[in-house]
Formats: sequence, C-alpha cells, structure tokens
Amino acid sequence: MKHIITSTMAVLLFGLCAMPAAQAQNTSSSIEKSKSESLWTSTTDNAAGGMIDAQEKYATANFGFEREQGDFKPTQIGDDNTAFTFHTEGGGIYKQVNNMYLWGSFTYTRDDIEDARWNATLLDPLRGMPFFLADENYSDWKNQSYELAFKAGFPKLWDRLYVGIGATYKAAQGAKQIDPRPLTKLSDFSVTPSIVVDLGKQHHVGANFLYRSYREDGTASCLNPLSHQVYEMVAPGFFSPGTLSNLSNSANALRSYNANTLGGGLQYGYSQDNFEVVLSGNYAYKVEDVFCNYMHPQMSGTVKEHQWDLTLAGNYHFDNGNLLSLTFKHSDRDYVGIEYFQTFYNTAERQEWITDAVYERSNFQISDQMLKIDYMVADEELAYRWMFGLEGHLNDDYYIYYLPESVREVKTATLSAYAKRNIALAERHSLQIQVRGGFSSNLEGSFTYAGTRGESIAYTEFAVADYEYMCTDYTTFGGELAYTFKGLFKKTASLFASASYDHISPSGNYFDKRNVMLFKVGLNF
Amino acid sequence: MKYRISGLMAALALLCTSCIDMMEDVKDVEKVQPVEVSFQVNATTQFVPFDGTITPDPNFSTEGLEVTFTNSKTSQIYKGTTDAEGIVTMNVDPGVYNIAAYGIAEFNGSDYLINGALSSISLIKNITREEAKESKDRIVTRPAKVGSLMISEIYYCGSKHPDDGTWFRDQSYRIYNNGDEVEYLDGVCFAQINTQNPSVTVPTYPEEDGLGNFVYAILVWKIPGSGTEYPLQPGESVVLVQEAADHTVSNSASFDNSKATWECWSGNDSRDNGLVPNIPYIYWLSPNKSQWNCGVQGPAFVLFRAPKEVTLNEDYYRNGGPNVILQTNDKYGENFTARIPADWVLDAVEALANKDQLARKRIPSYMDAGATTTGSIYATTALCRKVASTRADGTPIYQDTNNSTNDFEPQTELMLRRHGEKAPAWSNWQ
Repeated sequence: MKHIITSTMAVLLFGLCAMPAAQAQNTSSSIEKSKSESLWTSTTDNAAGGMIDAQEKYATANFGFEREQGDFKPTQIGDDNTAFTFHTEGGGIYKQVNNMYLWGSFTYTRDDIEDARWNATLLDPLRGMPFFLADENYSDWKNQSYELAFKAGFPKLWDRLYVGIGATYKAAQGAKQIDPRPLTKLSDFSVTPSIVVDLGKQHHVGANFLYRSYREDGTASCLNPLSHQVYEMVAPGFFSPGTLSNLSNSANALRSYNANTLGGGLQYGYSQDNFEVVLSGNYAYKVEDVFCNYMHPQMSGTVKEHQWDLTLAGNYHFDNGNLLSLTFKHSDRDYVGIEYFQTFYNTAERQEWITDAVYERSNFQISDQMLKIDYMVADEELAYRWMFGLEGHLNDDYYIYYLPESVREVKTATLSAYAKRNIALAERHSLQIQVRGGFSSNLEGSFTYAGTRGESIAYTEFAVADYEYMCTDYTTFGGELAYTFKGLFKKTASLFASASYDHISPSGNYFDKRNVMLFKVGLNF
Repeated sequence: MKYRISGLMAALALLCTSCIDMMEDVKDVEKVQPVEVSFQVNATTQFVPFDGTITPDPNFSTEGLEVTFTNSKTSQIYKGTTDAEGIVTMNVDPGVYNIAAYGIAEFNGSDYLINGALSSISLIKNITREEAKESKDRIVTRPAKVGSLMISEIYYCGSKHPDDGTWFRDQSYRIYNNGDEVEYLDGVCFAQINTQNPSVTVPTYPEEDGLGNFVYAILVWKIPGSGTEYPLQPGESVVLVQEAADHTVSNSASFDNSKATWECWSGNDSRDNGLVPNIPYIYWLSPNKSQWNCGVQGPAFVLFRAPKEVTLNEDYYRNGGPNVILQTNDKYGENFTARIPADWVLDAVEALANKDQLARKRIPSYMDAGATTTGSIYATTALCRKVASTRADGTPIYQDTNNSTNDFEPQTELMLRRHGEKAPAWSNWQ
C-alpha cells in the first residue's frame, strides 16, 4: 500500500515538473504573486478550486539550509538545530491534459537537533500529543522526512460541476542519540476529494472531505546497563516516573501511535473583475490511540480532538495592477486526554491488560484569531515592486487537568510587519530586499498546579519552563536578501539564491535569545 | 490491475472500519469525577483458602487502623481510619490504588502489628459499605508479633565503575537484633523469594496452598549451629555477603566488606575468602557455581526459622519433595521453589526496581505492606532501616512497621555496619 502510494505520487510529481515550462517568466516574486491571487488553492483544501483559480503554470525547486540557535524555545526543541531541505513543487492548468489543474510537491528534510530535552518518543514533540515518554537528558536527534503532495482538478462537468482530489503522504524517521534512544518511524497519509459547483454569476460553492491516517512508532531502547530516569507523561506536570536500561525496564519503553481523522470543509467564493473573496470553513475529528506494549497491548491513552477553522480571504485588484489582500482566520483546536485504568489479568492461559474504566482527564483548548493585510505594488517586469504586510494574532492556550484540578492559561497577542522591495539590477538580474519585525505580548498567564510531583524536575524544568516560554514577551527583527538571475532556458526560468536572518529577543531574565538563519538556492521554471 | 484496485478498495474499507471503530470506542467517555468508596479490613489467624473466605479473629480488632490509599499513577495520597466494623469510607480520584492498613494490637501481653496492603485495586465507581462487606477486594491481615531479629540493611544494586563497567560482587545483607533480649542465630535462614527480579508476571502457586499462607523461595541460606553457638545480643548484627573482599581494589566506587560475618558461598574456590566462614544453602534449584548474584533490580528476602520439630536441611527441600512447589504460571514450567510457611517468617523485605512497581510485589502484605527501592541499578546505594531511637549504649533501635516503603531509606555511603551497630563477640572481626 505504502509503495503504491509513494510510486503513484512520485510519478505524478515527476510528470508535473517535467512538463513544458510556463509561457511567462517565472521568478520567486511572480510565483508569490500568483499564489496570492489564487484564493481557492491558497486558503482552502479544495483541489477542485484550482480550476476556479486557473493559476498560471509554475515550477520551482530549491535546496535550503537552516540553522536555529539559542535558548528561547520550548524545552523539547533543540538549542542548536540545523536542517537541510530539498523542495520542489509545480502546478497550474495543463492544456496537454485536457485543461486539468494539476499540482504536486515533494520535500525532503534532514534535521540535526542538538540538546533537546524531555522527549524520548516523538518526532514532533509539539504536535499536541500529551502521552509520551520523556527523559531529562540533553540529547541530539537526527531526523529525516519525505513529504509528497498532489492536487488534481478536473474540467467542468455538465457546465456546472468541478471535481478534484488531493492527497499527501509523509514518511519520516528520527533517532535520539543518547540513552534512552528510540528509533521512531512515522507515516502520515491523507486524501481529500472535493467538488465545486458553479452557481453562475461568479458564485461558487465547494465542499471537500478529509480522511487522514497517522502512525508513529518507536521504542526507547538503551545501549548501556545504567538506569535512566524516564517519565511516562500524560499531561504537563502529570507523569509516572520509571527507569530504562538495557538490563531492565520499569517503564514501558514503547509508544505506538495510531490516529484516524475524518473531516471536511465547505467553501463559498465570489469574484468580480477586480474583486474576489473566498469564505471557507473546515472541521476535523481525530482519535489517536497510544499503546505502550506490543506483547500485552496496554493503553497509554487516547486523544480525542475536534478542530475547526473559518477563513475569510479577499483580494482587491486596483486598476494600476496593485493588489490588496485581506485574510481573517479563526482556528480552534480542542482535544482531550483520555486515560485508561487497566489491570493485568494474569493466569497461565491468559495474560492481558483489562480496562476497568476510561475517563477524560485533561483538556487542551487552543484558539487563534489572525488578521493579515498585504499590499502589493505591481511591476510588469518584477511581478511587484513593493510589498507591505501586517499580521496580527490573538492566541488563547488553555489546559486543564481535572483531578487534582490544575489549570494553565496563556493569552498572547502578536503583531508583525514586513516590507519587500524588488530592484532590477540589470536586464536579467534583480534583487529583493526584505525587512521585517514584530513583537509578542503576553496578555494573561496563570498556572495553578495541584499535582503531587511539584518537586520533580519533570515539573519544574519541563512544565514550568514551557509555561515561562509561553508567557514571555519578545520582539523580533530580521530580513532577507534574494538575488534572481532571469531568462534561463526558454527565457522563462530563473535562478535564485537567498539568505535570511531573524533575531528573537525575549524580555526578562529567563531566556536569552533565538537566531534563525536560512539559505536557499533554486530554480523557478 | 483489477486485483490491485480491489486490493486498494479493500484496504480503504479496512481503514475506514478501523477508523470508525476507534471513534466509537471513545464517543461516550465521560469527564472524570471523584468517587466515594468504602473498604473493609479484616484480621485472621487461620489458613486462608484460595477463594479468600476468612474467619476474622475476634482477638484482633481492626477498628482505628490507619488506611492509606495511594494512587499508583499520580501518587496522590488519601488517608482514613477504620470504624468498628473495620471499614473506612472516603472520596478519592478514580484510579488504580495501592491500599495499606496499619495499626498495633495488644494480645496476651504482646504487641502485634496489624499490617496489610493490596496493590493495583481499581477504585473507579462508588462502593457502599454493604458492597465493601461483600467484596473480595479487602485487606486480610495476619497479626504479626513484633519480633527482634530483623533484616536491617540490604545492598543488592551494585555499583558502577568510575571508568567503565559495573560491579555486583559486593552485595551484602545485615541481620540485626532490634529487641531487648539475646537471640540465637543457629538455624536461622535467609531466603531470596521468587522471582529473582520483579516481574510483571507475578508468580502464582497451587490453589491448595491458599492465599498468603506461604512464601516461596528460589534460594535458602541456612546459618549453622547447634542452637546456642551464635548468640546475637541486642544492638548486634551479622553481615552476610556474596563475596567478602576489599572491593575497592576492583572498583573504587565499591567498599570493603572483607570483614563480613559469613560468605554466602556458592562453590567458587577461586573467590572464596578463607578468613570468612561460609554458610551453606539448603535449597537452590540451579546453583550458579560462580557466585550468588541476587539480581540488581530489586530482590525480595525473608528471614525465617523453622520450628524445632522440623529438620530443615537439603532433604526437606529436595527436588520432587512435598516442600518444593512449582510456580503455576511459569511459562517454561521449571520454576520450582522452596515453600516457607508464613508463621516461620521473622522478617521480610521487598525491594522493587522503583516505587511504582507495587503491583509486582512477591511478599504478602502482612509481612511487608510496601517495598523499598534504590530507584536504579548500579546506584551504589544500600537500603537501611530508619533509626527510630537509640539505646543507652549507642546502638540503634530501628523502625519496624512491616512496611518497607516507610521503614527503609537509601544510603549512598556503603559500609559494613552503620548507626552504631556492633559485631557479636564470637565474630572473627570486631
């Protein structure tokens, strides 16, 4: 099954990238502009909406190198991380394939994470999974992932209906480098069939369905006989301590995750000559079981999650070609941690864990309101000459553990702004300069802990440290310099190289800073 | 191609079915609420059959016992006191609990410990008093006369060499006279209880042995003597070791136990210390001629003495004999054990790999209601009883509530004797 999916998607991607280049000059700026103008594909999961956008064909491929350094981060993220990436994507309306909309992408990432803590299980410890094995050692991780995605939209049927389908597949693995060391493997597959109905007079309504299957699996084995203290986490501040070594384990070293998601979205779009708007809403329901024993399956917990969002996105095209984009998005994620009370049924004939009771014991609610405004000053040669933007977020992160009742709530407001300038250096050479900055302000923060492990470092140096991180105000500033060499091949392709840097400066004495550098070189065609 | 499409469709159908099943399983899960539970404690002095029916002994009241409920996941503790019917009632967070009852009763002029515990008890719904009286989940204690001879310290976890490697040949155990009168060690046995390491598969034994009427050993060492050769005065202790040597020569993190009282010698001539007498084993299913390594995770020990009418020797515990019992849930069918009647036991200590492993206890809770632990292996840590008071001569009186969780504490400095314990006059070393 996995090979069929991988090979099918790889063939599709190769096909997309190998197809003849677009007619127009493709640069990073022109692709960015094209995406901004394509509201259905940029703000919804409806692949059939690609037929409404009718985006110009483009393709891009780039290699990237990223480095993040500094202690202003969640505790489970490394102090000094580097990542090598290769990314390619391409799509648009293909006349050669019966005017279908096709789009695909492939991303390879290799991460070297240094000195991460409190995670001996998960490839992405921030994904919202409270059940995992944690350890107090500062440890490196080496991770890599392959991500494939494609979308296809079919020509209009019966002069009214568009049908589309999208799919993603991700395979990843990661290895912790210090005992206890899991080799964690992940596979993540989703499929999104969709339709759009043309109601006439530029009105469209759409719908899509989502099915997602997620598996993650790893056993924290040890190479040496020394016991390592580990913590079987069930929620921030709530855990069972245990030990692991290559001789004996008092904790269950395995964590096996199995998640299924069902969901869907509804969309409405309207467009005029110089104005377009898309309103979309999505809902997804996920259940993820966590097991910690293969031989005698024992439940570590289950996460039941409801996620929904509402997005209103609009573009206004001025007569001079300038573009004003506005996006408002409300997203809401609500998941509960379900814990099992099990006893081991132990006879010579039958040995298994029996569930005595199941309860919801923790609840996490995360909501975010985002307002984004972008203004693009058009330029025929450079796609745009100037681009300015503002983005604001109001975020509320609430967590409760019911018994003994412990509550954490953090509200923050963030605002960021940027300005980009494209400069033509010569006929085929151009430069883009970007400056950006922002700040985050903590509006409210409280953590009332009533658990019994208040003295444990798994509380003081993990749960409390992360709370401090969430509550800390910070300012950020940075910029990017990108050079483009145009007119390659049939004068439609361009070569680019970019370097960007961001500095995050927290207030207070708890943290120092975080720096992020990113270098890219690639080809647009 | 047709088969591939069919296969793909079948796989998708399977995925959808599994997905819907998962979602159905947790659809109606409720938010946790506290539950009110009642719990019964009984004391008996009779044989307890396998079905757990008991006849409470009227000489030993269970009123006023302190009952501690410890949530095995969160370590949250709730405490209550039993009423005239031996029932305690309280509100707790639903969960799996370790429950311990403790009190002292006087009978015929002697103090008796009324001690008992149960582990991994699911308290997930309200339990009325009437339900508690009918429930099989109850603590059945056996009043235990407060004795003098005790295991005062165990050192089993070994030590890590500062450069590399580990060391477990320094394992040592101390037997102490905590009472006011002389005790004779002749014929006293020191036994390691099945299983060697704490196991998620807690061993079970034949139904005719009932519940908690015996303990089952994998190895029994017996102190020799005709009856009065080895007196132990109040405040004196003897030290039993795997190998008596200055272990700091091999591992600087270890200690010198070359002046131990006895070696538990397994037959390895190259490691025998001629200056320290050996004691024999009278039961060991598969002797390891290299050494006796009791395991570094968490062994369990009992100190016992057979009645005079029983001739306790290798023949008593001969393989195939009536006193060697097969563990009934051993998947290999070869775990034979030496059966020790409960009323022979003088003292017992349960050690586990960590304090959350109470479900793996091997010793009945009325002998040891809890367990002690070093927390990790090769931790260079001994487990010694807490000092309750000190005699006029400076020797300690140790805490003995038959609950190792409370009675023992870790000691990271290894030594032959501590807290002013004395060596007996007849010992090779003073």
